[in-house]
Amino acid sequence: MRAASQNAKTQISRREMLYRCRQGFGGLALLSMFGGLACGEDKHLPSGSPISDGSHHLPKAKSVIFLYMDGGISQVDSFDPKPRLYAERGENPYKKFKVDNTQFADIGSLMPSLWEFQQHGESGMWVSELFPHIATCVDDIAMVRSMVSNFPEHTNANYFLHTGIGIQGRPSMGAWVQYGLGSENENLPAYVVLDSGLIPPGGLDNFTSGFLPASYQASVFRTGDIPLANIQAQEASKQHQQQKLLAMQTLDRKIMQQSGGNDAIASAISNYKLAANMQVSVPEVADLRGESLLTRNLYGMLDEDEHTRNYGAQCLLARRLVERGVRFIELTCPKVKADRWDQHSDLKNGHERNAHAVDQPIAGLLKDLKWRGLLDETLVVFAGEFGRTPFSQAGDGRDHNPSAFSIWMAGAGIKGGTVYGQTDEYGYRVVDKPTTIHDLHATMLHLLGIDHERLTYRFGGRDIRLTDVHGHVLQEILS
Amino acid sequence: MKGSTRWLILLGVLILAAVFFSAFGERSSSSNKNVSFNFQIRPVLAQNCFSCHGPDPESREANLRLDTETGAKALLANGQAAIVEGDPDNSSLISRIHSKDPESVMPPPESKKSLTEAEKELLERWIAEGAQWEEFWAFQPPKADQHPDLSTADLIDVEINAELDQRGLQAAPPATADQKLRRISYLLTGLPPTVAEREAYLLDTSQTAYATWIDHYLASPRFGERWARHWMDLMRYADTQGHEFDYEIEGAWQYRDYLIRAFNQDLPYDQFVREHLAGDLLHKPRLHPQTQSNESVKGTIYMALGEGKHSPVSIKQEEADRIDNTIDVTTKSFLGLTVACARCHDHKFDPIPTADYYRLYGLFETARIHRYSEANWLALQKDRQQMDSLHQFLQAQSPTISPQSNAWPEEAIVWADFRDGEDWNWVADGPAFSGGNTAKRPIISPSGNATLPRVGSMRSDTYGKGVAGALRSPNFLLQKDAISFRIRGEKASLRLIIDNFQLIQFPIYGQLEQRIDRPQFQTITIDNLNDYQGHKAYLEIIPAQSDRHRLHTASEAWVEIAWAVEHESALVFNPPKVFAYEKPPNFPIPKHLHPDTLAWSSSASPSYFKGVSSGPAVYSPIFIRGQVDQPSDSSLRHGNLSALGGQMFAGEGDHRLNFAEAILHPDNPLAARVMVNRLWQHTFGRGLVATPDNFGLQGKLPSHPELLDALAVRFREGGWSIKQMLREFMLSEAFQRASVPRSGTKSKDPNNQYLSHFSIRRLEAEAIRDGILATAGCLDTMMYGPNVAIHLTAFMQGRGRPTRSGPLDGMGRRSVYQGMRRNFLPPFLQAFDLPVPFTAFGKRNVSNVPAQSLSLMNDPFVQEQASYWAERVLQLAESDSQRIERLYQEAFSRSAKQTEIQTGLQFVQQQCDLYPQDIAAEQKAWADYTHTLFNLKEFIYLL
Repeated sequence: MRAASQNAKTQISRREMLYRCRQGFGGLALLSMFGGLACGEDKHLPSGSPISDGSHHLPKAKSVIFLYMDGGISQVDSFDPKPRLYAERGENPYKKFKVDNTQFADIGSLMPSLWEFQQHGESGMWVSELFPHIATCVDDIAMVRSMVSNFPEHTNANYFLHTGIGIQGRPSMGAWVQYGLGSENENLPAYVVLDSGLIPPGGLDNFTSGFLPASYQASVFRTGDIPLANIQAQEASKQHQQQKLLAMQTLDRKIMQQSGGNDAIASAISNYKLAANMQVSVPEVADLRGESLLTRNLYGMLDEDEHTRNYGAQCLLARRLVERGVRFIELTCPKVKADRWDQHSDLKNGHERNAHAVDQPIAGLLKDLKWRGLLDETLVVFAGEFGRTPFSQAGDGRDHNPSAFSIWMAGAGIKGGTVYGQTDEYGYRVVDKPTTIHDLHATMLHLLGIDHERLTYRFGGRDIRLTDVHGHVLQEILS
Repeated sequence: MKGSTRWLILLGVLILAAVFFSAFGERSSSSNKNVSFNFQIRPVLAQNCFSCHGPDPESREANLRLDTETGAKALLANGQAAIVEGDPDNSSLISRIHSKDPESVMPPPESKKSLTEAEKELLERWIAEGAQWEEFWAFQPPKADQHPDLSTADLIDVEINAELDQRGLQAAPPATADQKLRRISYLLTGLPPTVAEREAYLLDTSQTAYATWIDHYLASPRFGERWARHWMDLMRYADTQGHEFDYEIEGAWQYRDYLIRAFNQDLPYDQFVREHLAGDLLHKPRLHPQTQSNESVKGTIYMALGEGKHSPVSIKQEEADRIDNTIDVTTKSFLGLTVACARCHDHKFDPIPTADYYRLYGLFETARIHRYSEANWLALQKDRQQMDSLHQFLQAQSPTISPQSNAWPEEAIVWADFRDGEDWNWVADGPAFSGGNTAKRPIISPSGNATLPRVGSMRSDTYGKGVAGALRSPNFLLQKDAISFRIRGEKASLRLIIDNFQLIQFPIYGQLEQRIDRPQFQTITIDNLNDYQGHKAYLEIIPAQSDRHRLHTASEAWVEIAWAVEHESALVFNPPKVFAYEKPPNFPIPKHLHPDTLAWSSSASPSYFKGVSSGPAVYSPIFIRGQVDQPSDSSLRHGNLSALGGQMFAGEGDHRLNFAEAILHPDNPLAARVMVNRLWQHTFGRGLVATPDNFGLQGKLPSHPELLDALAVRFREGGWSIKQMLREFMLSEAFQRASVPRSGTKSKDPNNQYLSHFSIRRLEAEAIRDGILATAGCLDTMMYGPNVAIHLTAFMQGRGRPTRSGPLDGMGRRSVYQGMRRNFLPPFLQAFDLPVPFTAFGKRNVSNVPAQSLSLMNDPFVQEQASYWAERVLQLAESDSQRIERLYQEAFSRSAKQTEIQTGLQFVQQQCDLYPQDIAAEQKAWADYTHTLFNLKEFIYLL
């Protein structure tokens, strides 16, 4: 089914092993346990290899689609209804609970949800009218209402959500997954970020390979004619480039001979073949013209709002990448008029614009994956970096709140219709089953067949994990 | 030998462990020698036992520690000892590791660690042989040089060859002259040799030709540019602070220039270390060769190169993170120790207790970020002396100051009231304010008569307006909710610096920085300070204003402050009247003391940079489990790491210079070992210690410990000369070997740890890009100065994106001069493993990915350079074959083979045929050819 488990059964030659490792396609960490050799000294892997003492478990998910809700969705306006806020509208939060310092230090009065909540599906899960389409998928969704983060600032919270550490430069979860599992498709990058318009605060370092080799960093796809940097051949014709590649092959023989068939050089040479393949396969996957009207409609690509159309296209592209075995796909937020989900003011318009842009496309994605039988092996995660305060800021906005927020997961190995954890009556703090970013990561890795405690990389004298020294798998939301 | 075969089988099973523990493994295979504690036993204990039986008391189980001899051999509660010398049967460690009972076996199953049979056997053998303990190798003083009579190059060969012999490895034959030239050129300067250099080198048939050319490249200005970049990896160099808006770090590039000059002039490494930690504290700093500004202080810029968070909700946490990063970078880079691991608990593996961390924490907390101007240091010194003489003269002339005062209200805390003629322990940094309190500074009439002002104050315009500098208060713990100031000036600011927080701005902190733009005195109040009660703060007065955290000193900037008082905002008070003199004295002063003769005032420099300067001593408590809101009761004095002696630094105040001297002390074996290992790594491709930033227990053991020691001693005793070391490394035979191993060698030493041949390696990102520019003939060798703006592609998006993109070719300047914006790093360099600048990177990754091929094939920069290159070569009156020969010499530093010329000619013809047959066709076909050459592996690999 997946590269790693296949390799478990078949003996792979050292040459092939080296070849795979050097491509960056091989899941280095897991491959290494199956009788191969280390990929050369450039990979300073831990000595007592973290995964050399046994195999990780059978995976549920082959791929992850991470829908990043940049800026922080308000939980009390979306997935975590708080009737008490209506009753105490306009009251002073300091009289109700201990108020933490916030990003803007502008603490207003208690503000109830601006949107009505209703129960949906067989599970009866509460969803506000912000997300009418997602609401139709609740029976496939496990809602975690008890998320907490460590940081009230965007950049740190973004780094934390993406890398498990709130500072710049650590490997992103997509990089870890690729490091652990590799890809199933050598003609496409294993870790793709679909830039839907907004690169989150903290920049591309949210998607970095950090101290892992550069092989594991994300490839950022943009909408438009050229989906990926340097993917378009510059030559006058295909044949011009073809002849160059042929000449390279001939002329590179000299160095192969001079170097005594050096492995690194051999794989650098074969990289050209892969690169040439990618020149074909990347534009091919990004070309949505062959998709039916029905499908386009399902994803909201016929909507009158261009942001919905664009995000719909990104969701559809995500499905196409999953179909081709891409391991980890993250979608960033579309650039709607009101910025991302970060509504310090004008919550009404801001959240509505953002919700409208993503709601139908996401629901379309879930349904499409399900119809195609892909949802069983694809984990879809919907998450922001933190939530928002139940009290107002600037009269009609909400400030950052890392002490409680909601995220959801759907698909492979997820028990649909579950609601996990609980916040207080104001939705300000978690009171039951506090769930950390590390828990989220541990669960994602678990579904991918990776024990988060054993996926490690030696850096700066420590065997470092995505989950640092924390993390528990959220067993209760697993099917 | 039986043991060794078994070990080799285990190697196969252990896979990764095999490669990374190879020093350990192979040593055991070498002979029937006694088991080595340092090389065979300690690594096993460290890896498998220390997390519960190591230096950290909080995680220690059963009161047993195996990281010290006393601990390991002590009687335990059950009456047994873990290790009984010479008696494995009675050592509970042995019975526990062999136990079949999951409750009793060590390491326990839940630790997910386990010992191999070979490791168990080694432990038994070691105990049977007497369980001899050794101090960890890295903390032992280096062993005496066994061959003091040999040159360093010869010494290297003796040691390397001995090791090869012992392992039955055969050295490869010597490399070709071309290969050697390409190696020394790239490794010393980061650029390929020019055709002219190659010709001269090949013509020189003397014995010393090779050495001459090593010296040639060592003397090249390009040398500093390459070696500065190596060092910048360690110092997480960047021009911006990352996070949400990626604010600029003013003058960061001055640090890069400082490094280039330092490496080019072969600044002794000990001085280099001193200047990094305490360049501002040196009494006799080095001066910049042109501007005569203080060069030494630029070393401290490294402390300002970290990340800065936009609007942190907890500034105490932000300070802690910043200092943590400084400790991490400093100790990894200069000591090869991971001290930052002791932030939350004692180090799990190395003898680094948390207290050590917080001793250094206070030491770095004491330093204040300061913006320096590149002022002429000599002129400043002269002026200061003159100012001192004037003060002395005045002291003798004028009556003692006796302030007339009525009192401030008791509830107020007076930070300063300069009107009384005192300086209140505020400190002036830079030329502004350095004239001291105006009460002691005369107003001089044209007739040469001096009058002292009746009322004192601190003014920035001693040397005139637009002069840089800062006036800073001592540290205070904030107690009230407001601070008021009496102040005036133009284009100036006052800043309340709480917890050393610099990125003051909206939304939370905006009011902590006030612009001063009124030439009349006014009272300004900063209030709402409740949240900061108990926090450390100081006040900073600067004749400059900030724009997106970049300070601008306008030519008309000046500022004057009379007093600063902390109080409750509710307190209503009238400031008391304070007069320095009841009747200001009036007297003539000698002409030579006239302030008009000050030398500096006209030499103001527009260039500024951020480094650190001294503040009053701050002693930090331990933050329990690293939590800033859980300080221990008592604070720790500044002191050296316990592993290096642990002495406390004498006296009160700033101890960065003491720490630098402790690092450099002859009793500290690490400083020289770590640096000499870095030089070795950059020369040979791999360090004698393969983990250059970690010489601790989790690091790799040295492949040639005796050699490392001898080199370290020679480095120190030879005056810490980097160039001298590199010269000797390159003169060794080991360096000059061919890159193809002799048959059979590769299987015995797959990573070429023992240097039987030259390790083929891919060039670094910068060397690839610079090599392209140089080969194309487009390299602009202009040195120094502000960075070239980063070229922005459509794929580089996000907040803080510069409004304008830089040129595609980076103006043809070397990569070291290209902008390094944390949030917008150059993608071409990143594809080839440029590290993300967040901590010390002594060793880069070397990945091999299609993105690299895609860059070389499709990046417009590469295409453009190929086309310039073709254009240049086509202009020469040469035959096509001669052109190809030339292209080969330029790109690969060698002649083209006949077959290669044929392939080239054929290729050009074929491409040409594909283009429309106009005059551009030939040029395009040649550009296709040069582009193909850039894409050959020979271009990016060093053989």
